Amino acid sequence: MATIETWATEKLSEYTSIYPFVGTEWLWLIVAVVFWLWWHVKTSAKESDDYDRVRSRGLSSSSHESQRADW
Amino acid sequence: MDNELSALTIIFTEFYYWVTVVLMFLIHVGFCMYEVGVSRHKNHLNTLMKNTMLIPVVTVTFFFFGWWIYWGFPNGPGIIGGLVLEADGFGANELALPWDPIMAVNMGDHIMMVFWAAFLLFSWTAASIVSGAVIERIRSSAFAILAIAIGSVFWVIDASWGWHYAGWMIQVLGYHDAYASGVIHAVAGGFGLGVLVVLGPRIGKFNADGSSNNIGPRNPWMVTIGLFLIYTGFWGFYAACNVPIYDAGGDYGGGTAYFTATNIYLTPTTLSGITANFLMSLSGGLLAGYVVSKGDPFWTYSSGLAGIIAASAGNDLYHPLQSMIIAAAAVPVMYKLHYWVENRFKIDDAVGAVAVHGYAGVFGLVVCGFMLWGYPASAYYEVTINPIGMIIGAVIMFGVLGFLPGWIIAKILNSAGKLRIPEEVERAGLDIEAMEASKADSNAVAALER
Repeated sequence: MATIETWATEKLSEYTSIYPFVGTEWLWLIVAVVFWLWWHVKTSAKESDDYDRVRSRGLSSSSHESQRADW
Repeated sequence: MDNELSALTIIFTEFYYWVTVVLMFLIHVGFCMYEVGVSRHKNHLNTLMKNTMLIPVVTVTFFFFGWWIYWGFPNGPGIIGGLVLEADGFGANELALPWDPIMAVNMGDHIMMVFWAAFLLFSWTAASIVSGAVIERIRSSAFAILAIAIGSVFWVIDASWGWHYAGWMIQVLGYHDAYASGVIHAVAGGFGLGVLVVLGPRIGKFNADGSSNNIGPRNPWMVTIGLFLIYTGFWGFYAACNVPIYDAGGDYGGGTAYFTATNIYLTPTTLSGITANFLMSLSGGLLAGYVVSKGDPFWTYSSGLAGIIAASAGNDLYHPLQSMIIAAAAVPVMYKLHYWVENRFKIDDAVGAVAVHGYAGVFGLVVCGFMLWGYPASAYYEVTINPIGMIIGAVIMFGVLGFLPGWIIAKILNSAGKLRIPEEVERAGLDIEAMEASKADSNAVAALER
């Protein structure tokens, strides 16, 4: 929803916030905080899965030597 | 902005901080290159992504609550007063809440968010300092939490205490730290040391008899370019710590307008003078580092950085020759301390971050207390810079707001099994699966090309 409907010069000095949906900042904040927290949970869980998979394979400290790509 | 002069002043200030933010971005580019250059081949991608992802997690949390802390905590709270909950001049607390209209594009304000961004880049730096120390064995998810703690909470508290023009450390201790020897570097170095104590060394760092091995740097060229970029970004940092145009005469209550650049405390300095001090302290550090490390590139470059950091507390007022000598004197102290702590306590600081930022920062604070003894710490409060206040300030920065929180949070993460990667993964390398995938692709392409 447009906060500003004209850029007429006589109105410019009256403007403050010009982003859309002024007054809904709380809603955007809640969505952003939920997304941020979800990101931590999601990436932490994936990290644990990745480590469990590598652990189960019994790799050595030189295993990566044979895995260098010849690009 | 209803006349050309006020418009020019406001837009210039807005643009000035914007340029500093862009320059400071290079600090992070430099840290990424530096860390990857130091890490081993099997850990490159993880090292890169760990540092890169601190950018978004620190940015959003600095928007959510970090900026609010800066404006809310100058009294402690509970040391000389309570939380600052109402606006008392530009940017004060209620205006720094994430839902406030001024925290966005707003025709009534041109400074808030570019000033926020400048502080945010300081936050990235604080977190990135810790990042380098802990490479090749920390869980990225744990580091993200630690990055938020140092980048959006603890360095911000110390900035509110020791950088905010009305911070209690300025008012009570006469604390002076113009370009953040303590406010960013000592606190981040102390935080890193606290984490390292709990995290432990990388496998292979120490022999059975207790002696240590050097691990890397694997790519000295990336380390070199990385540190040059950090130097470059540091220019932006110095400029960002200044207020470019300030009516010192009028605002100090003198009644006569006198326009000058000021430091973060709104006391006068010049961009011209601090530019010379930056270069001279860099040079003092490089000269000393080259001698102390016997020409080792890694430590010579790091010593240049340590030299700047050591002189930074008073670089708004020092003579360039003083900056140079202070920087040169700091280098052997931080270099010797690094190896003493490494061997005595078996601390594996992969990039020397605790030494370069922490020890050099503390050194700079203590020296500043003697060098600037008697200077007014503020134009608004009757207090002078003094050695005792600066030594207490150094303890607060490195120990109270740095080491302790780092150690406590690392302890909590460790007790939950969420701090360190499994031993098998550390041996195989954090990138092993990515390397395998890349190798498979490489083989497939090669087969088709035959």
